[in-house]
Amino acid sequence: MALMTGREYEDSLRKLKFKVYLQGELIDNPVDHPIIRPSMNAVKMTYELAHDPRYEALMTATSHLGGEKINRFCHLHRNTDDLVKKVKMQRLLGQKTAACFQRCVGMDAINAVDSVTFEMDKKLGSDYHKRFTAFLRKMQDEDLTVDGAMTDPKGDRSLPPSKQDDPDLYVRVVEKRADGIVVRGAKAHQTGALNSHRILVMPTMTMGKDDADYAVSFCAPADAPGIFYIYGRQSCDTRKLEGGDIDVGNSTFGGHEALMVFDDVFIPWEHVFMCGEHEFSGALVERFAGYHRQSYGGCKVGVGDVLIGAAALAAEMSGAAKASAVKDKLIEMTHLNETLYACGIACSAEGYPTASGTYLIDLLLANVCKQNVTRFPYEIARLAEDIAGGLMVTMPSEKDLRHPVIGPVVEKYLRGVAGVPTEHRMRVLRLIENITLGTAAVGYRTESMHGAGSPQAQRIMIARQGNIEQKKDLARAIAGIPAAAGR
Amino acid sequence: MTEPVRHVSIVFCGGCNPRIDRGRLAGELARRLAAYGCEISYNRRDAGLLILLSGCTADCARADIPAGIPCIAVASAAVDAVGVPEAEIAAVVIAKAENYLALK
Repeated sequence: MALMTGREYEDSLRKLKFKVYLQGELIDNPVDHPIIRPSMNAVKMTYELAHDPRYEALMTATSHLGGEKINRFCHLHRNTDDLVKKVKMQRLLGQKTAACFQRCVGMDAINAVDSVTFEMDKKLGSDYHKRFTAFLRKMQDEDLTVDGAMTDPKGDRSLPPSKQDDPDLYVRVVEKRADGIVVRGAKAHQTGALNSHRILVMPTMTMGKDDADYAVSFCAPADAPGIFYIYGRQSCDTRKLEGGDIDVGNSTFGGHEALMVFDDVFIPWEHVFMCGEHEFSGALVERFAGYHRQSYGGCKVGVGDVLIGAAALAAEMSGAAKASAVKDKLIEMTHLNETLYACGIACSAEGYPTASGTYLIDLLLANVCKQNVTRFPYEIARLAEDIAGGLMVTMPSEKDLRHPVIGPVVEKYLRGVAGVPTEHRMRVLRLIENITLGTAAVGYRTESMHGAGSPQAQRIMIARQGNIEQKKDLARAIAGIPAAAGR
Repeated sequence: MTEPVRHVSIVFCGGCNPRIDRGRLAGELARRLAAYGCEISYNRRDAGLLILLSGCTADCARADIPAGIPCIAVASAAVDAVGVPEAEIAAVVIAKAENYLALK
């Protein structure tokens, strides 16, 4: 079963025994819960498009392990073409879902863990890469969705993990046994965790010698004993409980995050990929973050495509489409969106091989990509709200539209140009609302700011990678100043 | 005496930013070529004729095409690099296919 169908994926999730709390209640069936279901639909799309010949070239790849066709989300990048196709696939899925489709984080995690464990084995004589490859083989064979879990709660940011008042604020090894390890702690903001078959845990930052117990990487079933989840709230999430399909803006697709808690979870050694080798934690974090910063040059662009389209429709429906100011705003939105895409493609085209053969993106360009993502979607959203007008946040509800008495009043006074049903106008305005300040704004706005690292994290990497000394030499040469010694 | 099987493969790009409706075009091409008795497949590279359907000018469907197999390349609203209105692409491709496969 190298390629699951969407239906097989959904059925596979039903077999998992998740322990998940949502709004204070332990829920039985995450797959069909109205608040969670749209996020499952978004991941399901990654399976369905892989079977569609129109999208097969992006959605599938050839496994370097067995040579069979696999879903690209299970693939290790073997060349720069793979890196470029990844970004294009993400844009495609953003266009098809207008939401976070969640599966990228696992793809980014496997690519990072692959190269780092390979280098660990070379230096340490360990067998982490062999263990990881066995896990990857299973992931590819069974077309699994994997949640890459990195971000710890972190507690007091001024203190390292081992100096925290509560030692559990970073995931750590609390016991080593002959057959495995026991881990405790939590991972925050876990995108798509409840739509995943496995979790792949990584340390959250570069660990020092005193924090060796926190330098831990492993995989586990997402429903392993001792793991439970507390589902994250999203703005306007309870609209999904109202039963309609207009006010939610996007009734089919969405994303989700959850707090993932490890309450003394046993991990057998064959699933452990790092255990105390703190000197490799920095490389793992840097590579995972780099891949994930590349990802945003695809997925956010696809959602941006939908938002730009919705803004253009809103303008048409209100009769403002020919106004030069509106046209110019749409041009600006497109310029910003395509700039993000250009960064995603550029860091991919400039990729290079690691020792394991897996390709890494250009880290400077990937960080520039993400730095732009912390800004441009906000401006695109601002322009979309500008074009949409105040009606987006003041119009009556779907129930008012359907009401036998006031429905015709809503129909009459919310109408724009003749020939466009009021309902269509309401639908497109609700879609803009959903992306800019509703449930999807989690992915399109705040995740753009903080996902894959907050803005300052990219600026640190840009400073490291920027090669200022070479630039100074260039200036010296042009200005007629002797070159610095040794350069 | 039976007619030789004419195998035509329609090869899609990944579809990340299509300027034309590739699905509708593929459906029309498949229907019209099938009427000539052609065997139609998708995304195979070993047919007697390849029709490459790329949604934009990047022409990604052309990647990994083996040398020596005749191709008709649609990339955005162009056929073999000559601009064609989208509504006329199918007719232009069919005319070229008729020529390649001696369908008439």
